Amino acid sequence: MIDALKAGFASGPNAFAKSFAPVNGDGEVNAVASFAAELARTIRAGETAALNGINGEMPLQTVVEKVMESERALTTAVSIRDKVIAAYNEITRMQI
Amino acid sequence: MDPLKAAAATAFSGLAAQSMRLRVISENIANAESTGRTPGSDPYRRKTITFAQELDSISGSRMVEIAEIGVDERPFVSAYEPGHPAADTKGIVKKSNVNMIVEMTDMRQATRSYEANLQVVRQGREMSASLIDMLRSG
Repeated sequence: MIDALKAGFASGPNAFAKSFAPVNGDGEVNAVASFAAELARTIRAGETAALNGINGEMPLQTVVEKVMESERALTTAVSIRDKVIAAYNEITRMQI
Repeated sequence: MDPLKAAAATAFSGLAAQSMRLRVISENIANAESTGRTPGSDPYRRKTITFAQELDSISGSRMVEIAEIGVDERPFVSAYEPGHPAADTKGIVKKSNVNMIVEMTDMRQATRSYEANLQVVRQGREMSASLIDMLRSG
């Protein structure tokens, strides 16, 4: 996403618009969607592990591992999201 | 796969292995005085645990797994206790071959190994956290 923004700025307004348009149905939007799906899967695994841990069905080590993994995935995703929003904000503040 | 994530997964397999080791040690300590119920019968036989490396197909790193929970083949200790239900015709009772000092040393080693694996997890977490922090501030 950041790379797309950078490339867009470097090569003029038309190219900038194109960089966000889906190319043959497999553009930026799909990439973000698959990233979000993967993130949701990791977080769900963490939640399931936490529940199993409460019930005592899973070894504590596995529970902690899964929960930590989902925590890490979430912080990464939130950081990337913040970065992307900051980039969009930067665009909206551009002088016309 | 992310190396830091793989390192954490490997360390967690170490934690699981050491937990299993502690379970075997606890069985040995709890049953140190367990004898047979009928005259001349065998008492509790000390359990041993062995580890082996295992290739994880997802990360490609070498995890640790429990190879086998076996028994210690060393001979039992004999004691003269004619009144004991497990005493044979000569009054000899077979006592278990658990040595408390060995078990205590083993337990301490398991604890140290567990702490070492925990430290790996902690370190990996710190490394990835500071990496993600760069995304925020930088």
